[in-house]
Amino acid sequence: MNGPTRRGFLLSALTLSGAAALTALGLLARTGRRILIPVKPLDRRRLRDRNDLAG
Amino acid sequence: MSFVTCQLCPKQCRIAPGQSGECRIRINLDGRLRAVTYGRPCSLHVDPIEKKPLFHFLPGSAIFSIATVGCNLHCTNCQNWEISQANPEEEPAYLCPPEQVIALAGEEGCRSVAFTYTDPVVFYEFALETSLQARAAGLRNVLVTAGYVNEDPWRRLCRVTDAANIDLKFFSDRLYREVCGATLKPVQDALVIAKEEGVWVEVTNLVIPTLNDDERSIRCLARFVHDHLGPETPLHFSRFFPRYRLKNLPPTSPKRLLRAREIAREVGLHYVYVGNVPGSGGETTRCPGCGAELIPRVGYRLGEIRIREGRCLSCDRPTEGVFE
Repeated sequence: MNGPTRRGFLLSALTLSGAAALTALGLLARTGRRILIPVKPLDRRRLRDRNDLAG
Repeated sequence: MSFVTCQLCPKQCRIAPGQSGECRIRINLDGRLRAVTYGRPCSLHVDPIEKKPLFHFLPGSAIFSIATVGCNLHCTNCQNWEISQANPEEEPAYLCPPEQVIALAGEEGCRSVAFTYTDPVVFYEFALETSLQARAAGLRNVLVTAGYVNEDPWRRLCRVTDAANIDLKFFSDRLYREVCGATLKPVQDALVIAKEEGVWVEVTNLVIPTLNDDERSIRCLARFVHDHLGPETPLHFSRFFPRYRLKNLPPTSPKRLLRAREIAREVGLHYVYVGNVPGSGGETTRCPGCGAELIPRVGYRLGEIRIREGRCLSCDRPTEGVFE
């Protein structure tokens, strides 16, 4: 019986992992970074509080 | 993959899809450059205008001050690094579009709006739109910035700006590169352009021991302000405190700051101030003509303003600035 040769197996593994890496890269490129800015409530009473920020 | 190039500041970041420029907030989303903090300030405060610092622009008034996260500079001594060097998803923000900023400023009795704390250059669109609406509502606009910006967008922003405090951090390209990740020339250009566009400009220089506190640097910087912006331009020498990644240097000695003021006066500047040294007397505005106290200041507290219709009450000499 002719089973997969060692070389063939290695080639298949390399092809598959290469394809997976490319897919992952493609997905990253497509979706990019998700920007979810957390929101905080505005407390009007605190607007005049002293703050430590410069400027 | 479609890259975009941001043309707002001299860094001209080439941005891959999903990634941001150096400022962290201008992001390539689906091939379009988006300023993701538009309408999402992380800081909203009512400050005394002296805190910006602006000493010749509506002195004693309250100013509605806003910032979003992000900055195009990465100064190792940044005082506000928690927000300037943060990613937009790390720091909670208020949902506050331009119209709400204007409404809040009016309700809080402010006569002006400041884009400050981080650098308004990076939240450019938000600052520009808010400024347009502020003008329409009878408010004035103030920028507190490092002035690291390209000419075209800067001129556009200046045209809706009434006053600016612009940092001139060093008079050395090497130090701008090493400490801030920026360069000197665009900042010099931004200062001159702001003046050309009719913005009331005050300049701040943070005096950092061993970096820029030598007499030659101070003289060169003061001479630039004098020759290119005019002797009437207020120059603020501010005291350094060790912060962020520059904790190995001591705070600036008050003596050094007073010497800096002396040098700048020798160069011919009329209004030179010393900041962050309460009780030094370095914050009081004096008439360059007769030496009378025009606006006595201790910290953010003001004494009687002795200027009427832009003139010294003692000798009638015009006092440069915007007082009404």
